[in-house]
Amino acid sequence: MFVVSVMEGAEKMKKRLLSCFLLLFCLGKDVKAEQTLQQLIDAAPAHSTVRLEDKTYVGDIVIHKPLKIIGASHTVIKGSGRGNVVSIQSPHVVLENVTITNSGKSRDTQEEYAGVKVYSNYNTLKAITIKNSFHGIYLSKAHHNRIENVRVVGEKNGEIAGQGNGLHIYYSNFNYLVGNTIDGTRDGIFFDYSNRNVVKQNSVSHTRYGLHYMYSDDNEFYENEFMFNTGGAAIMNSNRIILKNNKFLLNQGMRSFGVLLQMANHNEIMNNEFYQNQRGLYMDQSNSNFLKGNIFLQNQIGVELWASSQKQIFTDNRFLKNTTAVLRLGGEDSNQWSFHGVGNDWGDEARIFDLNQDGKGESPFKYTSSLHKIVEQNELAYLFLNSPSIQMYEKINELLQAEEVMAVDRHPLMTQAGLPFLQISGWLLLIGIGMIVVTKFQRG
Amino acid sequence: MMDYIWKEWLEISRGKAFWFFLILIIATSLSVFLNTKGLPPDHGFEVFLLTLFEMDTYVIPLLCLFFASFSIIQEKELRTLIMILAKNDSYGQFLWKKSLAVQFISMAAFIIWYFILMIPVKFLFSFHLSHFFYFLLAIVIMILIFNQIGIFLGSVCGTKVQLIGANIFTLFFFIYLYDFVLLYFLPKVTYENVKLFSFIYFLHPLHTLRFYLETSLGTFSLDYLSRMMAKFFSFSPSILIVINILVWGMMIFFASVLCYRKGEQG
Repeated sequence: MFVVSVMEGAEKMKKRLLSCFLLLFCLGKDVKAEQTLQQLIDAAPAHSTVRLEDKTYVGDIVIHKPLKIIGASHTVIKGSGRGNVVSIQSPHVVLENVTITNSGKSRDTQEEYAGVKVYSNYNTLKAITIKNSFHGIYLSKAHHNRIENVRVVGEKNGEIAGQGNGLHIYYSNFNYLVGNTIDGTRDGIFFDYSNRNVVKQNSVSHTRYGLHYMYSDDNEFYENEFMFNTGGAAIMNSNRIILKNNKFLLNQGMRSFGVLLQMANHNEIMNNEFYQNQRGLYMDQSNSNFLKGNIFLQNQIGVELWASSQKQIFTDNRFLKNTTAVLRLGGEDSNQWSFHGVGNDWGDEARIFDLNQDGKGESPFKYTSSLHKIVEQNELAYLFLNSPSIQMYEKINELLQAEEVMAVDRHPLMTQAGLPFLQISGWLLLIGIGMIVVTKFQRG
Repeated sequence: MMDYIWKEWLEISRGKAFWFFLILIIATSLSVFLNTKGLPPDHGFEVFLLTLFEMDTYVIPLLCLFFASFSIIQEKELRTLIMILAKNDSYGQFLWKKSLAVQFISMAAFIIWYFILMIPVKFLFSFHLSHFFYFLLAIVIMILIFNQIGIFLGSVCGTKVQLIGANIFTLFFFIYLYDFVLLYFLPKVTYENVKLFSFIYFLHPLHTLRFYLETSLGTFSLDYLSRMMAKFFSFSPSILIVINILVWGMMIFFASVLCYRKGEQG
């Protein structure tokens, strides 16, 4: 009996040991599968490709060798919430097709954290989505990088210091930013002491300034779109910038603008579209800028020029259906409204003739307005710029000859425009009223 | 109640004016649609709604003032009002039912049309249902307020000629005069009295509805305002709308009842 029970005990022990071995074997396999992303990166040889799986990896990670890291369709790198999620310290790194979340947001540290922080040159960041991070991508003294098709999603309307910028470019030159989408961050793209970068086909919305520019020269901006920001592009203390074929749309608010130039000189602003902004272009303490081929359409103020801004050249621009095309504030100016015999198209505002049909007015055009008086007196005047009563105010001041010259265009351009739809609608409305009155009288 | 709605519908639908205005609304909405169809699909929907709203700030006051006021004066001139009042209804009860009928028909016409209009719009832009409902709410409130003002004018005017004059003056008042008077007082506005100025500014229903719609759609930024502007915009859009409904919807209804009685006594 005793022997039997000992035998049974030994059998049980064997089974238990076998189970333990199996368990250890399985656990061993799990440990290998749960290798961290940092370990994967550390283990990969330089210049190799690391392909990530369709899962969430835990950050934060530091890349300190040239590598190509490519994610799958749902690869996520989730940060610790205490630092940069991805830090790139080596040149020639490619990071592609990943979602990055949860960077540190602390404001008690000296460092400002980001989804991706780049400290090196010649890197490519492509098809990356960044969420729940302080800054999206931060280039710190990093040159010749390419940032392409990156989407940064901010908190939208958060406290100004509570979130960072979509793309933060700090002391970084010769970078190429193309096809990125930024929504709801503090500023969309922030440049600080960064020169000779090219920014192309990006879309920025619901930020404070779509583009914020400090002490950065010789940068180029092409075909970008800035919509629904407090300000489209605020260019401050920066020179020789090219803004070409960009769209500044619907930047509306009491202090909004399409483009602000403040202490910014010798910039070229060409072929851009300013549509339904509170101010299309706002210039303060900025000199010798060249504006050509831009269209200012349905803004409350087309161009707001403070007297501290002098020697601008405006040529071949179109001012259409703005509440006021030009508002000059603070005194006399010395800006030039035509260049080499080519002025600007003032739309319906210009009541001048083109007798020889050469597309140019026969006489100089003086653009006058009285709005500067109320705007200088009280900033609440901006509230009324959409109101039809402003037209009445202007008309009364015109009759009283209380208007002032805002701009003198010696060679105004003339275009033959068709009947706009609002005009047609207005006529239809009038016909409608007439019909009602007639019908009611007939019936009465 | 249904009798009133049915009677109102028959009266309106038999006239040419209603159909003409309906065609006008359809034409202007389609013009707005055609003019905004080139906008980026992601944000174009909000721009479309705002442009449509801008157009409606001219069309709806005109339409509602004329239809609502003529609806009342017609009752007076055709002497159907006397017959109605000869039964059990007081003038207040009549006006209440009449208001509901006018409001129901005009709101229904706009709501049905805008739902139809959203079908092509949905294919063109990223459609946001909540934004559409904000727009619809703003339109419904605009109709409510201007119908009530129209009913008031219909109540206080004795003849059609008087009524046409009153309607034109009211339109002029809301579209031009109100802001023009505010512009006159603008230099006297300081940080201390800006809240009073803000209250008066937003008593204009079109100002409030535009403010409500633009903030609801996220197209009007209230961030980074100066101290004065921040104080000016310190009223919540919803509260301003309630105040406008109370003043222009309810108070003017009671004024319509009172002023009509005074007219009869006079």
